[in-house]
Amino acid sequence: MMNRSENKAEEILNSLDGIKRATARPFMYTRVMAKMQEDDVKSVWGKTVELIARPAVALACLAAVIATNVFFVIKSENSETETITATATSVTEEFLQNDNMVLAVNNFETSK
Amino acid sequence: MLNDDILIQELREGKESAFKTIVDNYQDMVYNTCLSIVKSEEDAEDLAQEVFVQVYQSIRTFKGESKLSTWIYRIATTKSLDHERKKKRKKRFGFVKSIFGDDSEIVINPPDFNHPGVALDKKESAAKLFNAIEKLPENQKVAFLLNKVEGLSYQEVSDVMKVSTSSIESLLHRAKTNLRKILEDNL
Repeated sequence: MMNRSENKAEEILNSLDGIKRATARPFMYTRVMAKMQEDDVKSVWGKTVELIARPAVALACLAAVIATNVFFVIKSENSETETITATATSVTEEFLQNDNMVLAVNNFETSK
Repeated sequence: MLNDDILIQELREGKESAFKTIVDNYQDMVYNTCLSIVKSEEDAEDLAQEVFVQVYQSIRTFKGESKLSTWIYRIATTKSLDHERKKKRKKRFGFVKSIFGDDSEIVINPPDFNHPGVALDKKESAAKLFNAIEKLPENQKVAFLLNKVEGLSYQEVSDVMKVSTSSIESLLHRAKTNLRKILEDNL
């Protein structure tokens, strides 16, 4: 036999029997269309921000920035070596040229 | 349903009249489902609009393996549960903030929910029942509400929740047992 609280619980449990469907406010379609238009306006910036905020995209951007930096650092190191080599070569050439010039002058003077 | 098939086809072709018919046909079903889960008329209204926006945007992904109504029920329950989870997170966050002395976001517990479709003499009991339903696990809550508030059969609930009918029977049995216990403890 059920006690009082069990009876009451059962009564509450059955309180939804015969419930009627709640009805939405009128003009739902108009409101849905307005919401879609509102979302469209938001979507250009919203989608951009959403795209950037994605972890995969953010990581890819970071990797791209790091890769670009590494590329330019390596490239600048190479060009520095090239510049040093080029400078060294031109100094040698200049030296040799001067040397030849001195020899030529010496030869000219001795031939006199 | 043949009518639904035509509507789906027309909506896929971008006919606005088809979308309007879908909104008109299913608005109360969606609103009532959302309302029974979120227990706020304002939130249910917003969610119902979001459900239809998703229906419009995702109609191409609808494969037609289930009925259109089943698919819409699924969107409505998923959105409503997500909304509830967000609300709970916000509430928890508000509590943590209040511990640190920031009272800017005080979360007020809503008053008892009165479903507009409940008979006047049962309003008080129904409000108590809705409070108890809130304490159920999500799957038991959805199964119970779809069955009791939307009046879906076990088969229909199982289609919406993508589980077997026997699982629904078991879910509903557990939901009722838990509700009885919660109600008896609160009496």
